[in-house]
Amino acid sequence: MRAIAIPHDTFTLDNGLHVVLHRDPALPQVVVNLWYDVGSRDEAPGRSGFAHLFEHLMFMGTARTPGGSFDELMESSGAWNNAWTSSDATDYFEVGPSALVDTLLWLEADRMSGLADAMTQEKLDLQRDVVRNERRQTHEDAPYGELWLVLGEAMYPPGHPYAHPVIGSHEDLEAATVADVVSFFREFYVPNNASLAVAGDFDPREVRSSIERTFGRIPRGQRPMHARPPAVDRPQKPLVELTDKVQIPQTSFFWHAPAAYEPGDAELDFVALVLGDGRASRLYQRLVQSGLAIEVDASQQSLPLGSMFGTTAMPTEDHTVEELEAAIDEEIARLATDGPSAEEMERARNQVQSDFLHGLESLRSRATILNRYWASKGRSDWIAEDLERYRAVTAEGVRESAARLTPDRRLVARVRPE
Amino acid sequence: MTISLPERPSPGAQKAFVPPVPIVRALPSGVPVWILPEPALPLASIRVVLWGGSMEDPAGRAGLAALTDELLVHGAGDRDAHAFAACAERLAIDIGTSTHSTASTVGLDLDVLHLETGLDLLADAILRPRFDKSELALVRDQIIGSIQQGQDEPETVAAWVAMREFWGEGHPLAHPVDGTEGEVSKLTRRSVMASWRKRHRGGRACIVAAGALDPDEIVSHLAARFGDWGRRKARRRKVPGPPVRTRTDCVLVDHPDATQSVISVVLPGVAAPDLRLQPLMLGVTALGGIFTSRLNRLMREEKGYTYGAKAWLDAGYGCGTVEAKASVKRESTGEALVDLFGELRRIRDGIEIAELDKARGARRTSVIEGLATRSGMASIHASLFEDGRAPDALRKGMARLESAGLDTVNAELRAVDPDRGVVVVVGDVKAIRAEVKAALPGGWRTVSVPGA
Repeated sequence: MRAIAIPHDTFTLDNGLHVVLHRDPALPQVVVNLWYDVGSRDEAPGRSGFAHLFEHLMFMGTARTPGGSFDELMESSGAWNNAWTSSDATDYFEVGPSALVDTLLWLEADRMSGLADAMTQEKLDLQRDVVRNERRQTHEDAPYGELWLVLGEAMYPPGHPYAHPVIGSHEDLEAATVADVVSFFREFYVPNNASLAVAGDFDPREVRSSIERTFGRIPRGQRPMHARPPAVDRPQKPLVELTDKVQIPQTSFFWHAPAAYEPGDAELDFVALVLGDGRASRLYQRLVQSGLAIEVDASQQSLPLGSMFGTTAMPTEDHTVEELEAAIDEEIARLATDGPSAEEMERARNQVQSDFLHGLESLRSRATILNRYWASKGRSDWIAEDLERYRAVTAEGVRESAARLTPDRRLVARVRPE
Repeated sequence: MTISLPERPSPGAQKAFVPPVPIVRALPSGVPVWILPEPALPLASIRVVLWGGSMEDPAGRAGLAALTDELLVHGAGDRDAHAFAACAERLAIDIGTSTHSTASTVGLDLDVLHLETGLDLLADAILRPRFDKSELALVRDQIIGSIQQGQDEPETVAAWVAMREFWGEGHPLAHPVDGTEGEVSKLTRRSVMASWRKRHRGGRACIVAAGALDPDEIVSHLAARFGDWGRRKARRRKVPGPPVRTRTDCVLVDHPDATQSVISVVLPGVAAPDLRLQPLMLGVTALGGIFTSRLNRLMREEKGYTYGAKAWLDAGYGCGTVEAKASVKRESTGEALVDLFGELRRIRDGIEIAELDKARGARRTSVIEGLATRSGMASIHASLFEDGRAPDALRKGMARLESAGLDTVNAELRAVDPDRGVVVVVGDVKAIRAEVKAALPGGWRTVSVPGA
């Protein structure tokens, strides 16, 4: 297998901000990625959706960059930006001409230092409406979207950080106040809770100096406390049945699984590849090739507080979700008994290596990877060890992991046409 | 306590960027090969692009090109569907097809360690597809399933209906690329074979190869596999224009209980290749192609009734449209229509220089980002061939983007006419009918989803 690396330097400012510099002058472009260690897992009771709503508010300006001028300044020089929020992270990134790198860094330092001082009820109300529209578009009116709104409470005990959806409820979004915004900012948007990655065509000495002049002025905050609940082994319910405005039924299985990077996590990635990746995979052959299903997939969603392994399938017109469920159970049991073949292991290893290689292609992807390892492992230079983790996976390890996917430990989630 | 920061830095001088021009070779049969060497990673992306696509679906057989193309990678040469997939997946070779209204593409993305095996599969797929009956039935059912899923998605429905209404029933671009449930279910192996024989000919093709490839070697590998494919030249069919309209066609599609309404507008644009394309693209980018564009600024950031509003120029071979779209809160549907058409009318008065600079910067950044991956490099250049453009069209197009002046851009925007197109609203008709009619007086019709 090939060696994989993203050459970079790291340093930490006195205020605790972790910085990663990855220089690649191949194209006249630069990416700035600022990763905050905060997500929907950190939301207070009655404030579901707040971390994501806050992400929207980060674009609403400061005293030095008022109104919509954050985007205006950026786009005036050919840059663009976006952000995403998950259960465990909020990540802001900008892509633009290399000549703009100092401006991009200044804009991020500006909002890290001064967003709360300029927060208003009007800004909150506007972005609350935008987020509620996002909820309607991506969950309520999206086919099968309702499932993702109820999955957390079906899988996790009440109060668990993953028990509510990242998008939140309309009721909780309505309840958010300006005081909540200020408090959340002061607690989580501090330099010692973030990692800044700069990738692309820049002079490392100049960029380091620029970072020290801007981010270096922001005082360290209290180190935020993140809940660390014990691992969950079984879902709260064995079955969720929903109806939706769809024509084709869908059935999904979900199991709790080892947390990201923990023993068993890479093995379950292999289980997903053997079961559901591509037309030569076991579930495709058993369900789709035989005419039972129009599509099927399997995936390991790796998360810091405990992962989730899932399968999803849709029956053809003459078959039922119950038939699919029985067939998936049989295929998992077969893998748990016989383990994967040598060819299946080779296929999974090659697929993983290919995914790693393709992840190195774009600057944006490299900057994200470097920050993701910082957030997960406390080090940016973990890619070679991560690949090694997959290289060490054995057929027996895959078999053992498949053996944990038993019917008594899973949630069945069915969506049927109204 | 306010934290002081130094003055905001001014942007430095931008470095010039000149897109690469592919090395152009040809196979002995005449099939052009465009090569973009990029050795930084041991990866390669290859696209075999053939003009044609779903616009050549015969009447009553919508979806034939898409079904035929998909079947190419479901068994070819000595390998049945399972053996073909197993061979590719064992080596993480990603081989797949895509069908557009004006072209079809077979794509290959791989580690160059496995280049020869990948090229064997590519040649088998294009030259020796099996079209096994069992696979035909299976893929046909999958496509029908996908069409049914699309019928449940308001945004997909809006796109289908907008194309049908804009081009007019019976026009080659009016039907969805995947076809309709009823017509796809009747497609036979015989019609698939006929579609393949007609469309998958070297005389229509170009091969684009990007990545860690030596130009001489890749041409040699391709020549060994594609033999004399391409001796017979073919003439490309002209795309008829849309019907001439004297007013905007207003169409409603019912999606009961939807919490949002999808608004989709399609207007006549500029086809590729055309020198007006870049100036108009800049103008449309200012209208709705970036976050601070007029539409998004007004409808999302000022009014807050949508998650996003956008506009874009879709310029294909012989056909071009200016399109705008937003999913809006149900109770704001009327207001959104007023705002959207207000901006479409206002843009005809021209944009400011600051808007032009933003649009130009956005286009430049987008091109550079697109070229950052091998698949991006290959796909961008495959699109140039699809649109009937030359291998150096990206470089020339960038030069036109950089030099287009405000007067030129505004002259093209004056030709955008919101009163000569189609507006489709997919939503809860019972709840929105009255406000929609009040917002945009006209002969609103309620229509069904294509094929439903």
